Amino acid sequence: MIAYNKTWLYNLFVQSEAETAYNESCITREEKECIVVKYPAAFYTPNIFIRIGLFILTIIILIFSFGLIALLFWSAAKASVSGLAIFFAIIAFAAMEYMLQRKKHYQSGVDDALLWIAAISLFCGIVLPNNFDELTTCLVGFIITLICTTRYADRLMAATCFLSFLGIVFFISMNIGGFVKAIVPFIVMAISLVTYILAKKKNDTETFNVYGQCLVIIEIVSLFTLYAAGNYWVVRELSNSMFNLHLQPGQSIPFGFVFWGFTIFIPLFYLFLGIKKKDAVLLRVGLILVAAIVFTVRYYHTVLAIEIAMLLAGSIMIVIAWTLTRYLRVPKHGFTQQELNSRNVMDNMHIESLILAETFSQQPQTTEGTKFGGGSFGGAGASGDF
Amino acid sequence: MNIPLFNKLQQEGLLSASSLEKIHAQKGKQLFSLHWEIRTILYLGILLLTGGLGILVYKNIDSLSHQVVLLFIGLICGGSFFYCFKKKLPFSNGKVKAPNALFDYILLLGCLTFIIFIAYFQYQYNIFGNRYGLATFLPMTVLFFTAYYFDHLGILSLAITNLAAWLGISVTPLQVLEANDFNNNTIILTGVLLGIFLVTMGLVSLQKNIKAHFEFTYTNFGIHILFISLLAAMFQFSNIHLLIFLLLVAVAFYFYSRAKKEQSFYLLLVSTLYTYIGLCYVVIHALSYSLNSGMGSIYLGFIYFIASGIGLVLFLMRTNKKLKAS
Repeated sequence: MIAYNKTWLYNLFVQSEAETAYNESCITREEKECIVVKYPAAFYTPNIFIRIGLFILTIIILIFSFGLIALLFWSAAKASVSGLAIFFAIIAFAAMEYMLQRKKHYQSGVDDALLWIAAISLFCGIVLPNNFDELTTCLVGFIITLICTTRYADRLMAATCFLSFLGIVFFISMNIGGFVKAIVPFIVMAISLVTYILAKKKNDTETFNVYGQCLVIIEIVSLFTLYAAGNYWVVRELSNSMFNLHLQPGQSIPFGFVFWGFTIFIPLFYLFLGIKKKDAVLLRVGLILVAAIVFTVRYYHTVLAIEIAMLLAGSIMIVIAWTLTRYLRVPKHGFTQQELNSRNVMDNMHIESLILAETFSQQPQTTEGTKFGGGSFGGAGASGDF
Repeated sequence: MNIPLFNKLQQEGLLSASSLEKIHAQKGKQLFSLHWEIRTILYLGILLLTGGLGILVYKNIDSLSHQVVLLFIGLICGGSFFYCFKKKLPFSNGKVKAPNALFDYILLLGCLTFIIFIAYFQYQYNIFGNRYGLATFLPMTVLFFTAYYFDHLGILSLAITNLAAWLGISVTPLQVLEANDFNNNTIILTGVLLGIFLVTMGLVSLQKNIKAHFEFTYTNFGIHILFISLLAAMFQFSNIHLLIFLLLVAVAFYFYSRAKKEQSFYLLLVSTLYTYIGLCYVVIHALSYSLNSGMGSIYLGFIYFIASGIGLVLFLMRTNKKLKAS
């Protein structure tokens, strides 16, 4: 099953719990150190920046190794690129196992890079030369990511695995056709819902779970897919191309109002549940999806001119934030606006100020003033040249 | 916190009874923090508001009464600054905490509307005439002053971005590679000088102890501008690229020793990667000239990348160990 040393993973979990308790000054430093000594984990896990560096470098090494192998066996490679890719994937998986078992790497950047390169080249080696249809492609992806998730408990693998599973369901329904094809949004929604509940249940218990982090990711992704499958825009545009409806602009799909209902009420329901259960995942996903409501509505109905909508939305958001901060000045109903743990990684990196510089940087001499682009921060700005 | 786990730890004799008691008490009154959620909403709100304001002004520039628009923007700006002046804690050379959670954002709103205000003024009334430098210079000074006076890292970043814009280059993280024409010799030289200046500013803040926590922001902007400009110089002046590469190595060595001293994994990673890019350029340049026939140079190139990659991995792992140990 899992390739990493299970005891050590458990010990890491104990250590992090002790760290939390220490940060909230519940236990003394000596007690924390005792716990760390009693529950050792000799993984090789470097600092996050070193991890990034090792990740980039390992990918460079792997790509050029692949090239070198291809050059060395040029005549054979020409005959079967897929054979070469599969061969390379086997080497990469072997190297991965070596790094894990012998060198004790764990989230070191090296293992992340090896895992992804190995999985991708295996996938390409199987899928590319065979001209598979979508269903088989999803199936291959699902099997590979499922094996990788169970063995390496990688979060991104888990998310991909779930998505490819949904892909399988979707394309099977398409192939069956008829009634099943018509209710495919509901099938996807139902599966997402069941997955969410199962993942939540499995992760809620207070026993340690090796796949805990994978389950959290699956919770998040399934909440998103549950919404996406019911979202009016997604359903309309997808069924337009899948069923050849040739809808004119302004024309609605059958039972459009049902999907409008989903579009608007699912995020609100998430928010409601998130606040009621004090569940950060539900709450944050709900908040993000509120934006999705706005975009979906605006896509079909131009309610307001863009700048008025922005002004209004901005003012409302500022007022909401203001009121919440005032309201929660003294913690109420178990909520607070204070930061709980002051040792926040975000603060150390000054990420906020960098995002600021990115989003608000403006070209002078124009009245447009603000040029706000993506709003995301593209890493350290390094390594763009590879 | 996981109560069964701590119960178990206590049974194993790793925790005192009082600690366990504290954990139980803490668990009982554990709060759910909305800190980042509220901050994100506020930030997006300000983004939307100023963005909408900008577009509004831009679209209606011909129909609106200018005085009204200016008055409106000026009111927001003045109101924000008034609030900040009233609420702020006394100035000090050290770190001054914001009086409340909203303070930073209101200050930000004030600064952004100020920039729009100046830009509008320039566009409409041409107050600075054709001295466009002045139109950037004024907001820049105000931003720097605000950053220091109210102790705001975000506005410092804005000010640095403005400083670069005043010098004619773009330094925001996503645009530094796209928006700059690195084939232009002046820009390369400006970039190198600006990078050195910012790194020096970082050092000065640290040594004179004037807002020492601004150091990271200065160094961070400085190191990227400096390295990118040096790399651009290498690509641009390829006949003397070896000389520039030596300069780059010297700079990298400087940051490497600083990284070791400050235990900064970030500085280590950044300087390592930039140096690696430079090294790759030198090697490929040499290979393409010395062995410009046949597969030999291609093989060598591949082997170089694999070997240098492995070497660098080992280097990073070793330095990681060293930094952790010290």
